Amino acid sequence: MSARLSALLEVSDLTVEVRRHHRTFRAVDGVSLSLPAGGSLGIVGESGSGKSMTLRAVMDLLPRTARVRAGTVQVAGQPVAVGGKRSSADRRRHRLAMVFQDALSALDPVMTVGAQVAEAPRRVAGLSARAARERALELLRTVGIPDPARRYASYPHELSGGLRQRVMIAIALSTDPAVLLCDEPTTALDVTIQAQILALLQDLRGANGLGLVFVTHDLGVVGQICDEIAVMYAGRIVETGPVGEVLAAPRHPYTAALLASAIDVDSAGPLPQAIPGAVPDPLRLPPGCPFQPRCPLAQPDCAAGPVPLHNIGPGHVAPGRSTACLHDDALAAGPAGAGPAGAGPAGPGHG
Amino acid sequence: MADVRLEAEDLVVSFPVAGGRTLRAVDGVSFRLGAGQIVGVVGESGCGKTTAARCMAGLLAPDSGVVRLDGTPLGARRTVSQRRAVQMIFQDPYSSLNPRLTVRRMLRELVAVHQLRPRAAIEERCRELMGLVGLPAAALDGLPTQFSGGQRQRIAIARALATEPLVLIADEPVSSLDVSVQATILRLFAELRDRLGLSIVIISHNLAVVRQLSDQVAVMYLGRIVEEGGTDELFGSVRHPYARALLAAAPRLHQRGLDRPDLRGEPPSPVDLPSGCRFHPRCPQAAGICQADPLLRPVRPASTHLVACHFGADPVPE
Repeated sequence: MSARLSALLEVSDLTVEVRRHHRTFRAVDGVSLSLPAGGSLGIVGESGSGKSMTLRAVMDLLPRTARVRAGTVQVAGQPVAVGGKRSSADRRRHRLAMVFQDALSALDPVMTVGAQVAEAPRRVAGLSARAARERALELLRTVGIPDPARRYASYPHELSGGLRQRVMIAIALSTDPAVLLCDEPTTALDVTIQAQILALLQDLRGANGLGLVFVTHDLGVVGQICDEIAVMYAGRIVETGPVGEVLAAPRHPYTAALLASAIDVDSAGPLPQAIPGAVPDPLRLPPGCPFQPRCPLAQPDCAAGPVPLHNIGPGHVAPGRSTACLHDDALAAGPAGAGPAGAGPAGPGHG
Repeated sequence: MADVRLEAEDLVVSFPVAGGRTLRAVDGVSFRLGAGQIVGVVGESGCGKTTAARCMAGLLAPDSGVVRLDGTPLGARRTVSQRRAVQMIFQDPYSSLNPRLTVRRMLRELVAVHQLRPRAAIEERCRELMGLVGLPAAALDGLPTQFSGGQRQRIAIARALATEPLVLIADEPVSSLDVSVQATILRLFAELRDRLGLSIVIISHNLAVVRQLSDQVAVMYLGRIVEEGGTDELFGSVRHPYARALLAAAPRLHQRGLDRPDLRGEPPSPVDLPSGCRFHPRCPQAAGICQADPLLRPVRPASTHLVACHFGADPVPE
């Protein structure tokens, strides 16, 4: 993705190494992302693809076994320290906030939810206790919590999963962020509650020009609330572009295979195709393209060397698309070489 | 329908909760599973689907109601052969396998205890079980921690199959797995049904999973079945407003933008059940008549598509 002047969040060439059993591997390998103001970007991939690690590196919340090896992060044109060097003053200035998957473990169990929402307005914005309380009530209302005055005094364990997730969003909003980084925020929720939370995030983005980065394993969720998508595999981005284009006509065989393996509620069958093989061990990545051993399009040159992300010519597809596949033309050409996925906007029901 | 293999009639299960009150987790659920059939039970947290499944598997005794296997009522304490015949698979393949037993010991123990093979043939049976679930025989030497989530779920299925059951009850068998692996496990269930003639109950919160795999579907809400029918018929014309909301809320691959389901609030506490139709406080269609409890009835005379909604059936011609 080329740097846009208006980019709100710009991540360039981010590389994160993780130590495991006295060996290190790259959990995130040269990832670049760009989010315009008010935009929403979905990062998808399976467990171990590096999607959550990318988010944590941007937030400077990496686990102790991980360190940033290279890369820069900018918010609204300002460089942001990464790799454990961020001061709390930096954190306030950069206006990044994060929403986690598991609200029950992310919230403080011995503090009322109201006090948790009021904490940043009180301590960071320096509001009086009364004004901070008012602000917290307003935030609880904004995130759709019914009867906020009563809920203010509740503890996290007294709330349902959906309400807890709303509280966490209220806490994230309490710092007046420009970008909300969401790590699987709805995975633990029931579908009807998930739909409500997604609608809330969509509304917040519309109302405040908030930028959203949304990490999920659910392609359907990304398709419904994001403009742009980045597909990750083995620590690298393998395909990016406008979400509708990528999902309708993937130009990386992994994206195609992921789509073909997804179970869609609108499909009456047959059962989807699984991706053959398994995700590679990060300590023993195959040479060249990491997907090559599982890929139906693989040629000898795929193993020859690294395959960088490159733009796809505008002749074939909408602008702003890139892929890390040497043979993506075969996907564009049609199902002949498309292996398990079938290229093009065929939708469900093939195979 | 084919011969009824497993049948539940009017199951009621309640649990005591703080303050001397009771929570009715399952409230009058009846259910039939035909031989060689796959039935899906779908609903959200707290709807009673897991409790109903545990009753059918014999892990929980209902307050009232009866479970029958091939027509024989199963008592509160099942016989060994009855327990063998109905096996359960759990959601989490990380906590449901003994971490200190190799796969071989896990399987050998079951085959030996139930005396299903002469001692000399047990090893061969273990290999056969691995083959059935699509794992190499070398996996017998592994400990559960050495396998991925999908492989562990295959091991859990092999363990269930070791007793040569007639019925498998799978509680959210794929929801803790990666998307790309879910499909292979679902395929495995379909294959096992075809090869072994197993009858399978799939419990899931995911309509897509249930739709892909099941012949029949039951939708539960707050302890009751609110709609059931043949999968194609039910998905072709969803009648209950809750089932419609559930379908509308499901993430879709080939749709841009968000469908906002017409559903208010969150499910009420099962300790304080609403009077009349349990869905009416959240229902966009609710009217005065919804103060009366709707019965589960055919959408048209003699139909096997049933719905528990006052507005769910076809209009009766005057």
